Amino acid sequence: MERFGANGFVGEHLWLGHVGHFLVIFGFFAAFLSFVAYASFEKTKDAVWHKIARFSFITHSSTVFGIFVLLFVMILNHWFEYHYAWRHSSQDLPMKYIISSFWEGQEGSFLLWEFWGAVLGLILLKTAKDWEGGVMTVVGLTQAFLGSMLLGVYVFGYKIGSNPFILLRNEMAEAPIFQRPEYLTMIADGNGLNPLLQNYWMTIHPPVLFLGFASTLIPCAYVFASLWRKDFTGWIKPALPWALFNMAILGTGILMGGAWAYEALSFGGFWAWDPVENMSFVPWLLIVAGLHLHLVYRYTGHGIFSTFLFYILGWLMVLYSTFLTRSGILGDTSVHAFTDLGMSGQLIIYGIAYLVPAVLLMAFRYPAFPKMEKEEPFFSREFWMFVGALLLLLSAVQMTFTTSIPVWNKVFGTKLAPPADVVSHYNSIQLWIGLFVAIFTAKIQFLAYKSSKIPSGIKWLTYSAAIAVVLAAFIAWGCDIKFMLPIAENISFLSPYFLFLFASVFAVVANLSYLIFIIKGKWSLSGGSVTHFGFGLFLVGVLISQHKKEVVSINTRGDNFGKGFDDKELVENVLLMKDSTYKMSGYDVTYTGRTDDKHEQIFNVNYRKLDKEGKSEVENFTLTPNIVHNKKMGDSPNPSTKHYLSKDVFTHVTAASDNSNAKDTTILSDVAVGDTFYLNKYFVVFESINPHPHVEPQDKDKLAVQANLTIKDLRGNSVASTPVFFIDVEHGNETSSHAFDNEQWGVSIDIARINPETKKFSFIIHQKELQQEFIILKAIVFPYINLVWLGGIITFLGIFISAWRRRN
Amino acid sequence: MKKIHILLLIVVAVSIGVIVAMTGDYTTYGSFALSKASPTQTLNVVGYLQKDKPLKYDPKVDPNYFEFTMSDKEGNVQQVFYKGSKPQDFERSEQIVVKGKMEGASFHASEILMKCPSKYTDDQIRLKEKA
Repeated sequence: MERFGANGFVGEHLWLGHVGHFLVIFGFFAAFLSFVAYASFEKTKDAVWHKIARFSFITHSSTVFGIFVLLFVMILNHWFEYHYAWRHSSQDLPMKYIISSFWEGQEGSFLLWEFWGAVLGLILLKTAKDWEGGVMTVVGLTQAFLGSMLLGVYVFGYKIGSNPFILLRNEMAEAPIFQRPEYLTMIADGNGLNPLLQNYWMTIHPPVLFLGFASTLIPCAYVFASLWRKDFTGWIKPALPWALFNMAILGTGILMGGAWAYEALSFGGFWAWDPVENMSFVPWLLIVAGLHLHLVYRYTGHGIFSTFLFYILGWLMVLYSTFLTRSGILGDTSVHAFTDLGMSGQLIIYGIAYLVPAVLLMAFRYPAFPKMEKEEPFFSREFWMFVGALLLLLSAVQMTFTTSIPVWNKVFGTKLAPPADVVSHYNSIQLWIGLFVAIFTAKIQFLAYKSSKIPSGIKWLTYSAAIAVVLAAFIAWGCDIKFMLPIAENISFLSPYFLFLFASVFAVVANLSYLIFIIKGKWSLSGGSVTHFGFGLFLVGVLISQHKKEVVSINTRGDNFGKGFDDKELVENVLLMKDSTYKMSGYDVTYTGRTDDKHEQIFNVNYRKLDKEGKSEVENFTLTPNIVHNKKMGDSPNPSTKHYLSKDVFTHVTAASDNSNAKDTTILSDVAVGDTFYLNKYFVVFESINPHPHVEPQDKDKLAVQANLTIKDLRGNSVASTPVFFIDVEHGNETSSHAFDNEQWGVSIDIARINPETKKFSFIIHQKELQQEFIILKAIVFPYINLVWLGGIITFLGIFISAWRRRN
Repeated sequence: MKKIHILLLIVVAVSIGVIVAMTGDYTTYGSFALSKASPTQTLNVVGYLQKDKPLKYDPKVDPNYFEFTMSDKEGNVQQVFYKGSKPQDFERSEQIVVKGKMEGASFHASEILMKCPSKYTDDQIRLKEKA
């Protein structure tokens, strides 16, 4: 519906939308064609189909890259005639956040996924050789599904996908400005990027995460290809590096999300068991289990069924997670789910499109699976890998079950809500699973495949356990982690936290000793141990930083805990008046003032720590948490963190005083020269009248009178105030005045009237109500959080070493 | 039967056991009327902020006490208090979910979740001032 025709509007760049829309539709059909052609090629081995398939997939990929560039051009140039650019960006965004606004919306994030799918598909097309047909059939279909998410066309009244090239004037056709051809010149700015996403992690976390999602498909695609072809061994080698790559990238993406939450969100921590977090973690757990079973199958021939199952489940859970986060169903339970774009039906259908063939293929091919006569020996590596995989499955099941509460409510009409204490709900199970997984990562390397004989190297495992007990006890003592906890009246048992600490330290020590004494530092073989070593380190960091995190801003003044407050309850926010110092667990914390600018208020909070004698200074740093103002999206606080090697001090302003508007007006009549009058904080002396004012009247005929006043405060400081009054004698004694503002003192004095007979003045006085400035602060210390990041990085490095070794 | 199958059965049994046991952790959605009827139960109440009633948050007196009035979906109006600071932009919330239980005449929320669709879908075009 274009009221002025395509050319009636001024300044639009319509070519971009036309090209974009064309590429979206063309790319979708190209992907679908590549699916059909690859499937026919796989079936017939006809070279013509192969040619068509490759040609259409390459064409598809080019369209995806084209769409990617177009969307970027649109956002970069602030072409607000396009709804996507207007909705997700604004002119003042720096480059790095312009990139983030690309994937703020659903369309952009699906496009990012599709982009990675195309890249991975091209790599497979070049490298998959014999497996190209089967694997690319699945990839082609998936690209068609992802492409359809951008279609934005109606089929039988159902909207399929959402198009990123829609025009603002079409999306919001009823707005009156679109009656005008030059409407573009009237739009002040775009809607801007959600301030919470204005963080550098948001520039790199989504691309990595979506590469992780896209690569989860590849092992699953190999599974489909293998099932279809009834070749149950040929896929093992080529799929392995893909599975490792997937595991490393998805893991990195999730951890980067944690880093973002830690740095930018105010809930204090890198993990909150939020549904969105959980549902990205579940596929990763399944992939990890699948990879270990993959290895078992490769080296022993056991476990083909479970390998297939876990890889398929991993991909299905990626889809399920996408459904949960994008259908709006999590709206009541998660803080960072997308809102519904009406694509949930589509997502369900796509899920079924993988589920049904998977079930059928597994059922029909099951009789043909290679069966092992011999059972796995109890002390073999494969047996314990199976047990470990089952534990990971258990972990995934609990997370999925609780996270799916909104789904159960929809399906069964129940009114369940998330647990009252979400963190302990998960921790009470996941802690024990993590504990056993840590022990398995320690011992698995020392066991051999297909052998119940205990390898001689096992002595190093025993030594490691002994060292780990001592080390864990030492750490627990140093970090004040309790060894025992009461489990019932008068009965204490080893604390699960201590046991967990031991298990993680055991994983670290055992894998280190394996690296040094068994494989003697041979890097090519070290992938597994380095990974497990890093994972152990990560778990140690998780335990210490989370279990021993300390809210240091406990309100100990106790001036008023308010009604309903239980003394035992933590009150985690503290009021800091400007320039006053507050003691917080060893720190002297001072709020020294703030800087206001158009977009944000930055608060300066100084931390100082003295040594035990209270003489020399050990630490002195200033943190600058801020509150970002955004007219459209409201205020959002950003924490600020001081990083030490051994701890982080995290600070976040939950509220601040606002003295921008409070004004108090007084009118004083009949004040004579020599009089003194009082304001709230000051007194003012009317010193004299000056007929030669500092402001010249505009009209020579006007009479001007200046009042000389002195404002004094109680400390003896004073400042002059000289308002001027004009009387236009020629024109019926019209009067005007020039007020005198005193910004710093917050006082403005004006003359309202002069009584010509008594020579007495009336003053209007505006006083800013000078509230004392304050902030409400929350401060948390996270000890040893760097172990989390370091452990994570080492884990993923180890996986890359494994993938590198198996790259051919 | 192989060891691994026995183990599998054990894991399945444990999973079911855990899930059943953990359902005790779950809370339910309900109204303020229901919360008054069963004051020991932790409930999630979905409702709306009564914007004409005052918000009580005076950080100078106590930065950890916030009081407001909301109505649930059945229209029951209820005083709610929360021990913590007032969430940013609380006044702009379109819908709120409070989790907690009754304490005397007030509802004690241990958690507040706000829904601000405006954050994502505020479809107001800002115009330049000269226009």
